Amino acid sequence: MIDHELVEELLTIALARGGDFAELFAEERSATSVSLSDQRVGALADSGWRGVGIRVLAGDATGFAHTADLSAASLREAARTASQIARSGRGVVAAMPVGRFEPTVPSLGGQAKRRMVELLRRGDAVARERDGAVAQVTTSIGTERRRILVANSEGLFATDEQSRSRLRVHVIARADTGAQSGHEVAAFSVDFDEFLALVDVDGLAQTAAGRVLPKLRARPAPTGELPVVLARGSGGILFHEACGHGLEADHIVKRASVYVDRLGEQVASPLVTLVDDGTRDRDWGSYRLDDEGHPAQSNVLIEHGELVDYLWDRRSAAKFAREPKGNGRREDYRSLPMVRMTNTFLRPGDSDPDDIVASTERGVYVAALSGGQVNTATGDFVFGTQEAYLIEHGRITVPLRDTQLIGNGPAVLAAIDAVGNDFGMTPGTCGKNGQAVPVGTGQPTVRVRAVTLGGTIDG
Amino acid sequence: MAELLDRALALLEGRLAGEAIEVVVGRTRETEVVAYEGVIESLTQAETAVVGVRVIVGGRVGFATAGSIEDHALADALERARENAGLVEEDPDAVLAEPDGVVAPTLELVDPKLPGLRVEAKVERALDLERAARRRDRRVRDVQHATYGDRHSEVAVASTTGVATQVAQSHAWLFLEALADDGGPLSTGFASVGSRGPDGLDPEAVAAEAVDRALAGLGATKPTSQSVVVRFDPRTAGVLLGLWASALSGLAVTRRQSMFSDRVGERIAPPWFSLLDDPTDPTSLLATPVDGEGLATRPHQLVVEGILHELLFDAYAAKLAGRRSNAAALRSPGSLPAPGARALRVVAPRRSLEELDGAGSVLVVHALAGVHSGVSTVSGDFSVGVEGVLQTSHGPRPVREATVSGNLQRMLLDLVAVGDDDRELPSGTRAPSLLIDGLVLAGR
Repeated sequence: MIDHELVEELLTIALARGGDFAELFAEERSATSVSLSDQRVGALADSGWRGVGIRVLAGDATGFAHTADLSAASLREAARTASQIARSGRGVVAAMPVGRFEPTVPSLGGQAKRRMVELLRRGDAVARERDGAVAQVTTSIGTERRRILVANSEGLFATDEQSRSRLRVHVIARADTGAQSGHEVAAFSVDFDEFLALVDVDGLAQTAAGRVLPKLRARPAPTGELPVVLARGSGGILFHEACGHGLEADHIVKRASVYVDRLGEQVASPLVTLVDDGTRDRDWGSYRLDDEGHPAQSNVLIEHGELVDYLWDRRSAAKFAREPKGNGRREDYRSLPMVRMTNTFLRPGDSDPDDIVASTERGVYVAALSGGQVNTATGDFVFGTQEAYLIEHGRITVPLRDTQLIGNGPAVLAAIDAVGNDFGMTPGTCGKNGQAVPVGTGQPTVRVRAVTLGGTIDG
Repeated sequence: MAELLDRALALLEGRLAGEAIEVVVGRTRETEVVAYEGVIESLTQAETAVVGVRVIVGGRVGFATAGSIEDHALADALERARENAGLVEEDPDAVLAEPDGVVAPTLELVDPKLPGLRVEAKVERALDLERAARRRDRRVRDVQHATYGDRHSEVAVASTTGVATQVAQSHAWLFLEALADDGGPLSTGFASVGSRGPDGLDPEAVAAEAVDRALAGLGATKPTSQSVVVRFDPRTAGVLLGLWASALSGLAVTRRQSMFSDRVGERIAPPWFSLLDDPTDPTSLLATPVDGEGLATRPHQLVVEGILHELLFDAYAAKLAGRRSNAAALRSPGSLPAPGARALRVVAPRRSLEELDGAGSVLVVHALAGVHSGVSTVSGDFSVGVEGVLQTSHGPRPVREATVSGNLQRMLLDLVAVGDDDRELPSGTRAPSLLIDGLVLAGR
């Protein structure tokens, strides 16, 4: 994207007014996506862009400028802008001009694009054939290729190429009890050819439809604290919210996390070993290099309930005189990097998943979650169900309408009293300070002794 | 300056027989300053540009974007959109918007002071904001994301169906989150304010709001589960209004993906309640003379005296429904349009907050969590995490780690009263407090 000599010159310009560290991040991205709704194919869409972000660190201040114009003149201007704002914080800074453009090469040929539409049609047909109650199906597919170059004033010059592909099936079913919806997603860090070999569109459509249909006869969820069993792969979002975000070292630096000063302490049930691993083959949150040029790693965060480490990017690691551990990510070249999770999961335990359900007298079985949110400063977090059932006398019984569960991170981690010997991962999108990045979450079947259910009828 | 529009119009000249083409060109200049502990944590400056080209040939739709507005970038995007259109199946209702004779309102959406505002002044605002929050109360432990941001954007839309518009807008905003403690667990409170330019931003007021919210949550405990009357404050009421409006999308309703499908003409709210979407109202931060497809905007009478009266349509949704667009297309320049509300306004009698909160045991909700994961505009099921204060006969009691649940359709019908505390929110909505009966608070 940019030649080596120019990169060297830009980093020199960036530090010409002082500063401790300069970095150039160049990104080129091309993506193709299409969706099918109401049995109509929508627009087949291509997007492609490239750009460069330059940051300068001076003490605790960061100067940042980005541009989509990769001409040498414009890049020099960006480097000067970043240097000025970091150093003085008061300088008058010219806006970045937008100019020269080199089209990014579309990564996908016509045949692959036609195949995309075929997959959408197939998913639609399978979901509709499943049951007459299926009233509406939306399928969407997308693939993207991202090339990054990271160079910094410490001599790093690294490049990486990352591909991601994703297929989603969303189903609405209708009966005299009203309408319900549910979805399922397959998403991997692979190019489209490899995705075609991995994806099971029939299975995806079956799962999505199978998730909605029981809800047509669902009863309102109960209210109050109950034991909750999370099916394998469905509940990783709990760990992402309950502790993953709170372990991001930028929150630790600012002491805005319930996990501050707790390294070496027991923060969870001894059954809990939590790992963040950006090296997992093909998983949605994986990459070879993070967006600061550091290799992804497998990092153990909680081991048998003991907090052993936080998640680090360059900036937070420097604060604690630590090495970055491959968790510096950004949505795109226009964004500053932050500490982010990759694939965050609970390691399997010893229990038979069936026994976990059978030993639960009364509770809720969650087969699929829809997402969550946490306040890292208080540790309070929520996560929503999209497929859940009552457990009565050790058996999974009636389906429940969608509801939200709420808990406090450390309290919920301590209340985990069974961990299964199975395992599953789920792809998702994580938002933080306005930046969205792909992540994976995973766990074996897990039981939490008590979680508050936001239902509408007495528990 | 119609430079963007000229570029878009020039591209249309490359139209081939049988093609309908729409070009959207956008350019944005932005600054963001974040202050932390009395210094600048980060200062970002940038200019971005994007083009989106939609081509329809015989009902087949192709779309392409590029991150540049140079002539050859536009030409490249047109070429790729054209190729893509050749690869998909026909949708007989695929259509571009056509001007319908409605005259676009004249709106002043740019603060002329913004382009001349020096970076030093922007930095000062962020520092002032953080300082104001830190000195407001000794229990303030930290202040995060103390941000001043501004943006000047121009968007042009041109099409072979006769659309040719260009609109400029400016925005400036402040945002921060305050963390407080009183020896116990932390409590957080955020606040934000938006304006066309720097003069509409008061750092003291925003800091005070964030800090007061954080302080109000000190000592919060998990409440016992109970049925409650809830007063959603203007910020959280704005979220509710947005959820109801999203279910009034003509596309979702026509495709039967909305809880309001088949409900046009029926009662969905109390007879004293009307809901308006008025993008022509310049006091809304999302006001615009033309929608995302370049049609002149107009008010949408969504709910009139409790009756579902009007839905929100872009050109495609309108065609599906057998009618004409009512200029409700939302889009960013690099994406395809979809119908939605910009400037929601509640038309209903106002009552004082004393009156609202005096209605027995009322939960005043200040913050919602998990709206994306716990609410369905298909089924109406609503279950969200809340922070707020329970007004009891023993005085106010802050609550946390609790949810409020109900059903969106039922909630609209169960509206009890509307507060006199309307706020123009950065989302474009002007929201008052909403008092809603029949909800369930889940806790211990």
